[in-house]
Amino acid sequence: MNIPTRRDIITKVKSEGGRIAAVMPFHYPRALLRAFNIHPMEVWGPPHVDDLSGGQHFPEYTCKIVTRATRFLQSKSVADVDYILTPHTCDSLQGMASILKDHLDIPQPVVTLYHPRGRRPSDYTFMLAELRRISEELAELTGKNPSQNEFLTAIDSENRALDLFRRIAENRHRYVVSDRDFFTVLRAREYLPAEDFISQAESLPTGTPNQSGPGLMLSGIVPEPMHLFDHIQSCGAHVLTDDLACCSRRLYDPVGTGDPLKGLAEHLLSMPPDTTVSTPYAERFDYLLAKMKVAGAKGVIVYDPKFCEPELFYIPMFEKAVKAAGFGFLHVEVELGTEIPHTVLNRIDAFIEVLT
Amino acid sequence: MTITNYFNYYITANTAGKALLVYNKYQQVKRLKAMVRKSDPHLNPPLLANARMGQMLAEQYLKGRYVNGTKKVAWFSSGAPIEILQALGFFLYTPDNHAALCGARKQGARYCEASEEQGYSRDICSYARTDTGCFFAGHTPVGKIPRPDLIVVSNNICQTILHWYQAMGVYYNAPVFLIDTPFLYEDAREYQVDYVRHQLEELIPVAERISGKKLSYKRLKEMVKRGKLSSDLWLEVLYRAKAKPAPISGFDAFILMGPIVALRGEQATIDFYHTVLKEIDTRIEKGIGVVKNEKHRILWDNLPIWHRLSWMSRKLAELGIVVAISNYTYQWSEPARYMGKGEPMEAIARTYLHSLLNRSSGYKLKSMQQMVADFSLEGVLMHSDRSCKPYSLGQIDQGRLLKNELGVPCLILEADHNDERIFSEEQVVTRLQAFAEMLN
Repeated sequence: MNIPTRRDIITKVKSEGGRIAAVMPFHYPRALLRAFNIHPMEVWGPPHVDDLSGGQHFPEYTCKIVTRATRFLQSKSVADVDYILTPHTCDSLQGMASILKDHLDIPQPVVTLYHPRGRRPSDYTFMLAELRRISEELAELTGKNPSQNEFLTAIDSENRALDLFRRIAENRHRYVVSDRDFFTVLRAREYLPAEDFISQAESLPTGTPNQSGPGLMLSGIVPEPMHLFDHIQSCGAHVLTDDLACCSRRLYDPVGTGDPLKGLAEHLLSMPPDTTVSTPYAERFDYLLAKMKVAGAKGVIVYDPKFCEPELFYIPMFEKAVKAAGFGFLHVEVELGTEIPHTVLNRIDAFIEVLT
Repeated sequence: MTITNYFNYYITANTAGKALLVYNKYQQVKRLKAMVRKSDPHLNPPLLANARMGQMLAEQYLKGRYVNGTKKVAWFSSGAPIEILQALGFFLYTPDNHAALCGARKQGARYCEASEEQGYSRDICSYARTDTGCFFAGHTPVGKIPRPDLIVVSNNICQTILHWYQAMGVYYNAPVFLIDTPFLYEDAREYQVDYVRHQLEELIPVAERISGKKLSYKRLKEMVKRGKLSSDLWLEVLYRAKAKPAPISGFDAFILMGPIVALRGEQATIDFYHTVLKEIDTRIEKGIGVVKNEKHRILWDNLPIWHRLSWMSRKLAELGIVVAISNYTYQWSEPARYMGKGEPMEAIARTYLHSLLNRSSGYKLKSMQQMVADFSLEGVLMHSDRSCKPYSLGQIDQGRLLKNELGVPCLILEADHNDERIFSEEQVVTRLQAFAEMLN
């Protein structure tokens, strides 16, 4: 696989006169940024960054995505970043946004996004108003006011990338690559521009993959480190489908035609059931069980960073629902680093053995 | 309503039970007065109002035992707008208050364990674990919890509460209505106020259908007015701690806040805070402070450690330290300034949007700086509460800035508001002693 690195993309975007936004997880309006010629690069930790400095701002019971990202955003590695966008995904990311804005001396302006938790008429109205506010803020920051045409072009490109992302994510069984490579391509969407993603995704070899052993659904936030997939494969299982925040929880409806911001508001509120927006329990479980059945999964591994409250609240009822439906269930928590603890690996081994 | 329901609610709870609780209150007052004669080297006797407070909440829980079948019951999160529900005659119950009560009775860990046995992680809020634990255990220290016909939850205090209340909605098979409050970095913009107002408007037909009543705007206005009055009185109670020595402490306020959280806007709450003010004013006239030898005055940041309230109060008093004010108790009064403005729905929307926990870390810091000046404080004790991320995130920077900008020393103590397993007595004592030396 020959996927451009983040550095490659930064260089390319900058050479074309574009700007970079470091974006925290994980629901945000890509096309809106693109209309302002801002390219989003998502920050999920990153796992290889130490969190010593981040830890100086947060208590030890804070998720490592937040502490490592804070450290990362204070480092020289982000010198090319022009803006920071922090959606209020959970209490920890909301707290991080506030600390970045109020207490830390970072050069980039911090833009925030509040994603409404409901799906009522008032939520749509608010989402639209929130996008208008962000749009005005970006106009002030960039000195640019995108035309309707620029908006529509950006929406069209992002819609095409989303469509391909969906086709791949929902059809794992059609691609002849390892799970790790498959999810590496999907996750490249975290930083590749739409066109680069499309070219990578279209080059994924199709056919009937040679997969043996039980098929799984991988749920949770982010599968870091990626050698998690190697381990699952070495245990004789494979990942058939996912419910990861960084992947399939972003299978939104495409942005509709008409008013761009209105279309974006509807698009953002169309995500599949998700813990961070408090989807009602039963609705989420019905959706996930149907997804497992369609994919032919035998069980689910919920792979979460430690201290992730939105995820943790769903676990007890999710486990009951999954087991009642005759599937296997495993929940593991990791510290989001470059290694997976042996205890976690052993639990995954044992789980797969039971399913086999 | 059956005859049995009627008898139990109106005769057992409201007449016989009430009389018994009044008798209990007098017994309690007698005990408190007797304490005056006992010599405590560090603390003056507690306020007599504590007994009345206990009676008020006990009455409410007693009514709650029998209310199903006589009135519709609405559960609400402690920061949620209740005025519409009050105007429609719902019996109100707040699980947050119930969880705190379990914590104060040192039952938190017991119920947390019951919740953990059902799969809830130790890393989620201990209030949520306490309440779900009571459900799984099938009992509670208050006897019986009223079944909800409607649950209203607002995330103006945290996002966690949505998950917790939605789970309770599943367990009790009740509809959950969310009042979503966007986080504020500055005073609310109009579209944010509109959002909350629209949700309140969406709540009305839901609540009307469940209550079987039509909302009277006259009654709603009255509830808003009384809500503001009770919050203003609560603010006056807290402000009395500006006097030296402080006649009321943050620990007293943690106890006396019960009515403003669970029964705000009720006439009984208004009457109660008038009584509290009278008692405090008498103390001020006589120069009676909470701590006998008040040397240092500090701010308490975050929720209390419910299972260690009196222990903490005593340990600090031994060091000559009084917690004059807590920003936690303050948040049920400060936003009430918005209650007096505009038509009721807008006033409610503005008030509940501006809850302290729904505001930025920078705003919270400014608020603490103001308290340091207003209450002549020399230090800040920050409870780093494992169960409350929105409150605890930011404390490290806030503490650093308070020290750098105002020269005010801060102590960060890690504990948990309800889970007594997360508390190291020796460590806390050592750190309090070191803190007292810094203040000296």
